[in-house]
Amino acid sequence: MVNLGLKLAREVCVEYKEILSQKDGYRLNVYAVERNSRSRVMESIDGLTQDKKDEVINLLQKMAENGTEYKSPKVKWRLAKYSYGELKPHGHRFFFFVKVNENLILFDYEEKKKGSLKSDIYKRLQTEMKYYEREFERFISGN
Amino acid sequence: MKENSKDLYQEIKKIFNSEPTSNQKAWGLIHDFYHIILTEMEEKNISRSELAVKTGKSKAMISKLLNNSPNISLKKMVELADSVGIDLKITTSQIEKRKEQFFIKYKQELMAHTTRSVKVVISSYIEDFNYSCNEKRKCNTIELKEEDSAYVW
Repeated sequence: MVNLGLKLAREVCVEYKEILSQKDGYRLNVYAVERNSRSRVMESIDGLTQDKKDEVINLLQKMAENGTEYKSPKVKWRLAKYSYGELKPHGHRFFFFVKVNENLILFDYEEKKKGSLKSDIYKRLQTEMKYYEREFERFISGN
Repeated sequence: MKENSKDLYQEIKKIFNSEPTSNQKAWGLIHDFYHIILTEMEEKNISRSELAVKTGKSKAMISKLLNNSPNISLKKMVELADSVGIDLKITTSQIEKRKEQFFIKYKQELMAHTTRSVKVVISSYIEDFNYSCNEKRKCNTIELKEEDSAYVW
């Protein structure tokens, strides 16, 4: 689990796909991580029912519009103990993001039918997040 | 899951950047409402327990309303808003635009009659000023001691 970041660095091609942009008047840019040409986040949004999709889209737009000032029972800008946030549109769907300066990076998605996610998952996500954060800085600087 | 990630990305980006549907607008209103309530609760330091007392609902009901109530009724919205001291009103961008247009028209009319309006405003201001000066003089005279009488207006 701990070495996941290194494993990702060796084997995975990571890209950041811009979904919302400051150029369009948003306060934050929103990116979705794509790993080996697949994005768990985008595929998960796409797989939602129309109503749930509309809810998630609107929530992300509100977050991009207002930044961290935006308050919602469904958004935790930063989880306790971890340095990333969680968007929980419904009890069992979790979108994870990290804010790097003026950019919001949606880096993973989890689904759990009942109860909350185990702490092992949150720890793994913390390692993943650090990797994506580092890679993003490289992506932004063009290296 | 879609095979072509480029197509999926374009599709997602298009959804995010296109005009909102009625359903998205409805979600937007619900999200705005919760943003207003939570901001007000934070600014006024209102806890969920206090909100329960104010609305006369159980703590469990308040948690349900704040955590997982996607289709909150208008009645519950008003109850929550009242309990945090917000006067919730329904308006539309059309109504707001009409108000704005009325104000612009009013301002233009006022500008067309500047001399008269200004005269009226100035004369009323002068009257108020004179009255307050007289009152001030009376007060000062009363408050001042005999030895200070040289400074009375």
